[in-house]
Amino acid sequence: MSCEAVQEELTERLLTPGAPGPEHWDPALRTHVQACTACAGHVQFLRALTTSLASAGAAALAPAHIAQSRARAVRALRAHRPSRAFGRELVGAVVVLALGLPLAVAQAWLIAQGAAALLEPLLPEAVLIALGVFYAGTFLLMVGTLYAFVPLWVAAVRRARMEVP
Amino acid sequence: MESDEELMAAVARGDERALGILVERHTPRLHAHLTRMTGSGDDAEDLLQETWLRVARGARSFQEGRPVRPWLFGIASNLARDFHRRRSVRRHVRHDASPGQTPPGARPLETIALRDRVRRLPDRLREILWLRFYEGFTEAEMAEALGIPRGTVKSRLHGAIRELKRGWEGRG
Repeated sequence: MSCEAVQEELTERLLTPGAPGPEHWDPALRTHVQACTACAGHVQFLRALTTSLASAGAAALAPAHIAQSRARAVRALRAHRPSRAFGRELVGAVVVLALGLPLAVAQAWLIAQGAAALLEPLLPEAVLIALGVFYAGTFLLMVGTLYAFVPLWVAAVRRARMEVP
Repeated sequence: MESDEELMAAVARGDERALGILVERHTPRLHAHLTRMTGSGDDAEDLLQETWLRVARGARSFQEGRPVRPWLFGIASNLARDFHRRRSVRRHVRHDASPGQTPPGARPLETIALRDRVRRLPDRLREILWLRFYEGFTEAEMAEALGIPRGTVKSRLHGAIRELKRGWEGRG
């Protein structure tokens, strides 16, 4: 066995808290350590290191804190569980947005009419039609994007509400 | 007693009791790990809460059969690393919460000097040493927790040992 292999093996064995003592080691490993000063020194170093690591105490955690962690985690789990309530809230949000849709369409229509009246004497009809198509497309895209985000928004609001103590 | 993996599978199905058992089983050790990594009990408590929130939020996407303990420590370690990154001036990492605990028979100065050297190791080496010694993680578990190959775990562990030994051998 090479010293490198022996020292790797020793590191593996001795860095385990409560690891069995040398009497339980492989005889070849024990013999090598007894005969080799470098590897015996490695054992000495590892013992000093584990003593040092073992002497470092961890700060105690109050039982109340464990209970608090548990309560918050359970709330978060509930918040992320699929539920019928989510469906109801989603429908509610879509209805509210749908009620506002005629207003948004009317406003967009008025803006289009106003712009057309202003630009009609200045631009050829083909350009006006192209601008109208572009305007309508942009409007539809914005409304579509808004509706696409509704489920995400409802879910985020719902989870945040449920997770907060 | 149910295994962590069985409990986590139950949590993924929304079982609150299973989550409660996992929290009670792992919180003390996660807290100790986070305290070592952040150097502050208060910061560790905040990160501990965040760890369990992430577990609860990610429960449904948890891959069944995956070992739970390395996953938990991986989440905690990531949070602690992000915490350090957020704080541009890194705090002095406390390795020892109670300095007067030198075991009988040990040489106090040597113990303190080694502890100090461990504290001064680069984060990536120190973390491996802690997971190995305090949590008893195997190479495979450390690789899983830290998201690195086993070979890297091995080289980091032996790198940490070499670094510490160099300082120890050079002690007056």
